[in-house]
Parts: sequence; C-alpha cells; structure tokens
Amino acid sequence: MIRLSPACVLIVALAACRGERADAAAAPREVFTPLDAHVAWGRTLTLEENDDVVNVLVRATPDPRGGFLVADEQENQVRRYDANGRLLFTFGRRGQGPREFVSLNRAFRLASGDLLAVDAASHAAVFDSAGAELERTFRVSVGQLKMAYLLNDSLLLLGAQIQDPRQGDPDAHLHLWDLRANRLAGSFFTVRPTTDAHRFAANTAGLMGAARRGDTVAAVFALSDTIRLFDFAGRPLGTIPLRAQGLRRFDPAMRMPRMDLVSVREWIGSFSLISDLWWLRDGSFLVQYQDREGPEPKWRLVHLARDGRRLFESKDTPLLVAVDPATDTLWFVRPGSPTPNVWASARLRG
Amino acid sequence: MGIGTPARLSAALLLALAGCRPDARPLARGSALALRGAAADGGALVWVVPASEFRVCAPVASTLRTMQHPAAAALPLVVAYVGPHPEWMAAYLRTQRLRATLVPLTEREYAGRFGAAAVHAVYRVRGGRVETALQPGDTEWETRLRALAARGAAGTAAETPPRAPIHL
Repeated sequence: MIRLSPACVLIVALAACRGERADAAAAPREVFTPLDAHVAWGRTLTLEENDDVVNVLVRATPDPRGGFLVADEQENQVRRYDANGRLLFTFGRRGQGPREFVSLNRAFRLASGDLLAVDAASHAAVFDSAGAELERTFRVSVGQLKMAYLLNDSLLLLGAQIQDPRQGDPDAHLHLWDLRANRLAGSFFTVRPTTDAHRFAANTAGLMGAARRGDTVAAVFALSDTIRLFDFAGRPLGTIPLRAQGLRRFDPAMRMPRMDLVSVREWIGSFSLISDLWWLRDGSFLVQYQDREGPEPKWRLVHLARDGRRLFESKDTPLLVAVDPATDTLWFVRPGSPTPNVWASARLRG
Repeated sequence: MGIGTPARLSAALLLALAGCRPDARPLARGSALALRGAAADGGALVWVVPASEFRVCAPVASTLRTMQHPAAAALPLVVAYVGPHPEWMAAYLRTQRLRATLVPLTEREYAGRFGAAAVHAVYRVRGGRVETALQPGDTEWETRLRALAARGAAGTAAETPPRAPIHL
C-alpha cells in the first residue's frame, strides 16, 4: 500500500488548487461554433410564389419524384416544387371541407404516387399524384398532431397525445397508424410527467422529431435529451444520449408560470425545445433545437455521432428545412433571407 | 398529481388564454383611432392586439395576409400592439409576411389616447376615425373582414401600398 507523507498530500492539494485556479482564469470554452465552419454552402433555391402562394410556416419533405413537397401550416396549402423551385401545383386551403385543412402538418409521396396530406387536427387526405383529385379522407384518432413521419407505404408515425384514456395511454407520444387497415397499430414513447410544470410543458410545447434508418426509428421529444430507438412495431431498441452542451434543459422542478400568454411565453423561453431530427447515411444525427424569444424560435443545430458524441454545435443557424436522404444534402432557409421561400443547399464538411 | 390535473391545467390555460373580458367592447364607430402609418385622409385597417390576447395560432394573420394580395389593392395595415414585448409582434409580423406598420403602446398609453382599455379587434378607419369594428370570434367574422377589406380596397386601389414592418 502506498503511503503519502503529509508534505506530499499538501503538494497534491496545492497542485489541485492551482489547477482549479488556472481553469477558472481561462476563458470559458465556447460551446457553439459557426455553422460555416461545418458546412459547405451550395446553390440557392427560390421557391416560386404568386398572389395565391406565399410560403409562411413550411415543412418540406423531399419528393421521391424530385423536388419537394411543401406543407404550409399557416396557408393550409400543399405545394409541389421541382428541384429548381418552380411551382408545379398546389392543393388545399383553410377550411373544414373535403379539400381543406385547419392545421396542415406535412405532405408525403406514397409509393403508389399518390400524395398524403396530414392535418394536425387529426385527419389526413390522400390525393392523386398531381393533387387534383381527392381520393379519400380519414380521421386519425390520436389528438392534436405535433409531428407526422411516413415510415413506409403502410405505416405513418404520428407524434401526438391521445386525449381519451379509453383509446390508449395519454402519456404515449408516438403512434403508428396503419394506412392500409386505417387504424391505430400501436402507441409508444411514453413520457410520464413528474410535476405539474412537466405536464404543462409536455402538453403545450411537446414537439417531436423522428427519422428512420433501415428498420429502425429514431425519435426525440422536446423536453428530453435522449434519442430513443424503436423498431417498426414500437418496441424499444435503445437510447442515445443527446450531448448538446448548449441545450438549456427543462427542469421538472421549476415553478409553473402564471396563466397568461405573456408569462407562459416567457416561461417556455426559459428552456430549450428539441424540435427535429435527421439520421444521416453515416449513422450520425443532426438534431435541431430552439430557444424561443416569445413566438420566435432561435435555431440551434447539433451534429452527433452514432453514440451521441457531439461533433459540432452551432447557434442562430438558419432553419434546416429538409435533408435529402439519398445524398445527405441539407436544405436550409438561406442565411439572412427574411422569407422562408429562399433556401440554400449545404453539405457537411468531411 | 391527481387524475384531474391535466384537465385542470387545460381549463386554467383555456380561461387564461381566452382573455375573457365580458365587459370589454371595441371602440365605437366614429371614435378617434389615429395612429402612425394610417393615412390621415385615407382608409386603413388597424389591428389592435393586447399582449394578453396575442395568440399566434389564431387565423387573424392569415386572413389579413390574404387581403394583402395583390399588394397594390391592399389597404395599409397598422398593428397597435398593447403591452410588453413588442419585439414579439415585430417578429411575428415578419414570419407571417404581413406588411404592416407596428405601433407599440403600453396599456396606459393606449387607454390615455383612446379612452378605453385595448380590446382585440380589427378596425376599418378613415381619416383617423373608426368606420367599422370587428372582433375575432364574432359571427362570421372572417367573411365580414374580407368583405370589409374588399369594400375598402375597391375605393382605395390608388393608395400607396403599405410600408414594410418596422424592426424593433
């Protein structure tokens, strides 16, 4: 057994003190690095607009036939753009009728060529490949949607909370909707709130993100710093820590806000909200999160290795709207663009 | 945490966020409502938004945006935002792509200038006086708002298009 003399202990202690002082004196390590250091910018793409088409709050999905399907939650309109931003067609508008939406979330191309448009107010509609004919409309009984993601031609992944406990677990946040059988096929990703504040945050700001790779689904929840993995039946496959250092983590022990809009917005702005997730071809993840200033999100982007190790993290990034799964091309709203219809492509630097 | 907590939270939130003020009324026809950005002798739409009723999910902005296309036929839009954090409304107008002049006011300033507490409403004004008032939630209010704007636009097509939103 090694014995340390009192002098030796003192030396070790002083050395430790010096080390702490040196650390304290050093400049704090910068958590964020500029996005430009990590991506190479490519071409600009301007989505065509006209008097009937204005891009406001858009969610874009790469169209397997080329270009993009853009769903605009504010305008309740689906737009198909070609790869150069030319507007090919639109369908949908605000309303409660058969070709109308009240809170359009996202649009997808099915293998048949048909187009699936998902409304956050729990209904979906299938249109023909040109968006001209409405083929069917169906309700998805899972409550207000936070996220929709097409896993394959028969399974639609929905981020939502079931309101009626008789219909399913109200704390399950992901649901598999069987498009062929037109029924709920499973619910998972449970988040059990531990405090009133936790439940309130989960209900009001419970954003979800999902991505797939092979037969695995990766999913994130706004308030949780973990990427959860599932199979297509919703069975858990594992977790990956989301080691974003700039993330202002939600503390379930925090006090509830006063119940007025200003106080609630200030409260929600006091922690980060994980918002979206992409799974790249090399197995790494891009996670987009936001810090809100009132109604306005300030975007942050973190690139994580497959094991959750942080590769880079940038703040005040332009909104990442889409990633082409075939090429890993990233599509951002072009930095500095005041409108969301001007995009810029980018590739991660090796 | 009891079983009823989510329901209580929802109910509390709804009440709080609804901004219910049963005795609140918009300014009456003929009331003064002169604000920077509204032409002194022309028509304009004035959207009065108390901070406590600033709901981004409400379709007011969508309806107003629709009325701004085509731009040449649009009435000038003035947004009077009453309460803390006017920068929130400035950001919202940008993201909503609304061309508007933002006039930030405190509750005291608004009440002092217009003689009443701010009520969420859209006004058609001419020459600094209220012609018509509509409140979100009124029966068929969207249809009425469109009609209001169309009627206004027909007579004011030659007016200067509205200015870009200010950045606070």
